Amino acid sequence: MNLKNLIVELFIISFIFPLIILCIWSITGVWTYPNILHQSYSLRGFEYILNLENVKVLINSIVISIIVVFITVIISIPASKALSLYNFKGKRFFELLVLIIII
Amino acid sequence: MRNKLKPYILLLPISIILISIMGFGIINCIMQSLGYIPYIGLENISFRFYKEILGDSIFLESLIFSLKTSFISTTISIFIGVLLSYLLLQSKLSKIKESLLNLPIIVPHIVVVMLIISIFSQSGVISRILYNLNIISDSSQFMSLVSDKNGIGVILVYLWKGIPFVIITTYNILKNINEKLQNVALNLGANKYQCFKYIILPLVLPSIISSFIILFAFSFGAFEVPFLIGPTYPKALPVSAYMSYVSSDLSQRSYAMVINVVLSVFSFGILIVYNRILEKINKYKI
Repeated sequence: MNLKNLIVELFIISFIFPLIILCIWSITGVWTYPNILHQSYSLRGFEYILNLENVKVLINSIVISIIVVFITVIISIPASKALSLYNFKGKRFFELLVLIIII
Repeated sequence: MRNKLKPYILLLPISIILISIMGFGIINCIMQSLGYIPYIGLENISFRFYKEILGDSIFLESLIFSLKTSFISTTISIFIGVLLSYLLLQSKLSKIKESLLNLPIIVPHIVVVMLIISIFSQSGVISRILYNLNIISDSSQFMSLVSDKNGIGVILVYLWKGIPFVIITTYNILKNINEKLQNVALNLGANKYQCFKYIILPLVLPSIISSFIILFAFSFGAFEVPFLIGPTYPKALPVSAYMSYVSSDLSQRSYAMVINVVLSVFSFGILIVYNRILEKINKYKI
């Protein structure tokens, strides 16, 4: 039982570890090769992303994603209702048609 | 009458969008792959691009490379993912740790590429740790795991994305399996292995297969990961398609389209296999 817990937790750590490295990189100034820990802190990354120009880009991405989500939901809910609740001719064809897009 | 038409009406918007976009794209792609690109003056239709590309050793190596990396990464992630979700079920973890496992799914592929580079490259974290343990004395002694010929970097990226995906799909199904089924089997004298093989495996098999198909098709057709972290030779297929598409020599476009057609044919084949397997499984369902 304990061994199983250990394995699972080790895996979780190995998945989270790269993200921690990413967070460290984001506040790092200098981090040359043989050092395991970084030498200096800096927030230049955040300064870069938070100036007006880049915030606009950020908002642009968010707006696009929201619009895409809305349109997708509006179009696909009727389709999923049709596929799951009704039995009709050509049902398999439509199922395949939807699957093709995933692939 | 009205009831009969209803599903078709509900399906109408998505069908129009899918068929028009896909149909146009596919027809355009096939036409260009046959050498019909009127705006640059190529108008005779022939199979010569297919012949040239399919006989090309570089293309074959790319194809093998793509198939190999996506197959290895998908198989390993399915294997580890299923095993891990089974262990996860038995070890009662706190909610926070469970939700930590969902994190990799929302991280975009490009960020994952950067993570893998910062850890496994020659000046990455592992190399640094080995250096400080005096196992290696220079960064070049650490073997190159990123942009190497075997595509280990690509595989690592897909593993990091794939395993949590498999875990989530399988774990939710495992959690909903009725525990009574297992108890009955154990009571009737089945051991744990038999319990796994005859009860749990058949119930999760559809989700395993569908996640296999999704992961395989995605890693086979995805472009950005091998472009950023893959070797320069052999290139993955989508990368070489992109290279010939953006090439300044417009007649190269036909080659790109041929590669796209090959990719689509492969994906379509996967889809058909998937469909067959699902039909078989559904037949045995009660």
